[in-house]
Amino acid sequence: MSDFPSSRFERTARIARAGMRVGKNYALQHFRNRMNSNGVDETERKEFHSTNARYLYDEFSKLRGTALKLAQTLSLDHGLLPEEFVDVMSQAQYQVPPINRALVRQTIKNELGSYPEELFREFNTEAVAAASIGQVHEAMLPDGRPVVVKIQYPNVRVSIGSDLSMAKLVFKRMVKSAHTDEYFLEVYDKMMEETDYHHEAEQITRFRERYDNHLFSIPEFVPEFSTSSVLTMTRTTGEHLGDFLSRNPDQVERNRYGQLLWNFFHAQINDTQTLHADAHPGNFMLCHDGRLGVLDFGCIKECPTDFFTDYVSLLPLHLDGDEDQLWKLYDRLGLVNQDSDDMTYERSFFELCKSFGDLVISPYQEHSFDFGNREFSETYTSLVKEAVGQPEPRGSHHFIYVTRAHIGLYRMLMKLGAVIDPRPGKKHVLEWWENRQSG
Amino acid sequence: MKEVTEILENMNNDRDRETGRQNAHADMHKHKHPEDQEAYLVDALLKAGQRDYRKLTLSELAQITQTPLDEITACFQSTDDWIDAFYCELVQQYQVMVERVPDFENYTVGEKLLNFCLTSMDMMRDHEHLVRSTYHPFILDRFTSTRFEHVVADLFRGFTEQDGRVAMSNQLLLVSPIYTWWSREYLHMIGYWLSHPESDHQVMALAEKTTSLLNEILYNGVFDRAIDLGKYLFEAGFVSAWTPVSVIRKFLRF
Repeated sequence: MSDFPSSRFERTARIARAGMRVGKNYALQHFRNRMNSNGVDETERKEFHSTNARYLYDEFSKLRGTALKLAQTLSLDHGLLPEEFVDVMSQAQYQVPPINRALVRQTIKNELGSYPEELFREFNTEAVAAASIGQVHEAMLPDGRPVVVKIQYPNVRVSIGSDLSMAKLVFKRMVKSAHTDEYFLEVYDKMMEETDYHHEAEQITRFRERYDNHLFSIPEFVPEFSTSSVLTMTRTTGEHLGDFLSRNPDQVERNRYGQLLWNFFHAQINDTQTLHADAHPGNFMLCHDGRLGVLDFGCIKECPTDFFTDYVSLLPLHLDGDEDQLWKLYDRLGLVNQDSDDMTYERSFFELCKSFGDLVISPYQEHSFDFGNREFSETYTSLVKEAVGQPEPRGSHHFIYVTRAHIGLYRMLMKLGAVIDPRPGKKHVLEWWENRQSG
Repeated sequence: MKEVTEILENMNNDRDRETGRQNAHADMHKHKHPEDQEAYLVDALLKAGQRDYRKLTLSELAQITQTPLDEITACFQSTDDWIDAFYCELVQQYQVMVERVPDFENYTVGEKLLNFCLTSMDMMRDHEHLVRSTYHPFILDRFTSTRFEHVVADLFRGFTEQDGRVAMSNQLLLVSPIYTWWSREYLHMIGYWLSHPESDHQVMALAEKTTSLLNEILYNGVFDRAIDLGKYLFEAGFVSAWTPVSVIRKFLRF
């Protein structure tokens, strides 16, 4: 059963067609620009990017699954593509066209044994959110509890392998790296986890035990209405970041939302070594009771102890600025190779990593930090682009999802233009790190 | 006095029991509409347990359902008829079921068609033994069309006629043979599904893709707009520019 193309041939053909069309558009635009002595009009350039982004978004939305997820990750997390692409692709976080209502009804029957109208007191057939892997419907349980029911698109899991092998083929042509297989295995494992709702259910329960308090709202998993591809949890009500920003909130509100996001990220630095790695605006909500609602637990990164300790060590060692210690740490994290024959290249890569690290830890050196600072965001974006543009991707495969959490947090804070107090987060991280060192 | 009371009570009880029996018999035969009586008989047969339905005669049906043979023959002329009635009953049950589906009236035609395909497959699964043994010989491979085929065609007609979003030009094309054709395609799809027990996902994907395509076609207003353009050209006098002579001249010049 499918509402989207699942065969490898069909998916490859669609991606190839979309790529060729956008490639042709850019080639023609380049040719026109060369012919036009007056240069390119900025509005026209933006419109051009937006048109192409919309076309790509439409095509990838039809494919859903891994293809859409990768396109979204490339555009949002790494700053590789123009800002217009980011705007359009950010819709993929929760505004993908939903699947046929008859398919939703049937999926529930197949998974839970009865039709939604028989199972729930109320069931909204219109999806309230739809993203790359599944869509979400609001419902009410027979006992009156309001819930959301997350329904996985049919065949998404089947297409993960073929989509990733296609992406790997392209990746290998673009960059040379001995770690390509490791990176793709990490993404594959995470995608398989994301499409296993039993796994997500376990994570919801754990996060609720750890973080559901006066600051954060974590939903409650409802096991009797869940399977590996239907997940029911209690409903969190509030405003998504996009909706929040669209009503042009004042700075105090922005700061409060930003501070909650900052605190949530840092609260996760603990012995569980587990991070919510899908940090994008669609997965967080400002609840009506003032708490930060965390919504999606499909992409959770559980780090090995060595890596997690080393990753957290980046903060104290960057604050110290001791380059010898940083060389050793970067080496352990696979960012530089102290035994390399080409130390000039290693040094240049070290400098790039250090510049980026210094920028990332810069908020921690202040009593109050303004993420709306234009200079910060421009330097940040250009350094991310420079790092991603390196001919040889480096670093442990664990970085993929850990940086996704960290970069995602910074992107949201910059979008909010929040002024936050970084000290509680810094204090918590340093205390945990010192305990770890002494323990 | 006590004995009299007991006797009276016993008499009353006997009378109540007799009345109950009479009511039960009346209940059994009170269906005024032949469809209701048919539904009752089919239901009674299914409740009586599995058997070889292909060889079931009307007298056996009368015996199993404890119904006089004349009442059976008033509903069914032959075994074919009651089997046909069973499949029609599935459509009836489907219609009752969708009344409880919230927002069903807002489903697109494609969604309604797909919903029927998938739900009817579920319903058939509930009577797998009967369906597997009777579908091909009594429904799909029958030389003449069945009542089930017509009922399905009528259901499909209802889906399109009650939907206000179908393009005007497509509405003109939606004539009876189209619904009969759709109904036949549905019957063939079910036939394929029953013949290939492992084809669940394949058949569901086929149904989904076919109904999506139909939906696209039905809601596509290209012909409406073409007709609108033609009407405008005609009314505004642009058609005069396309006289046969001018067309030939253009063609020769080309």
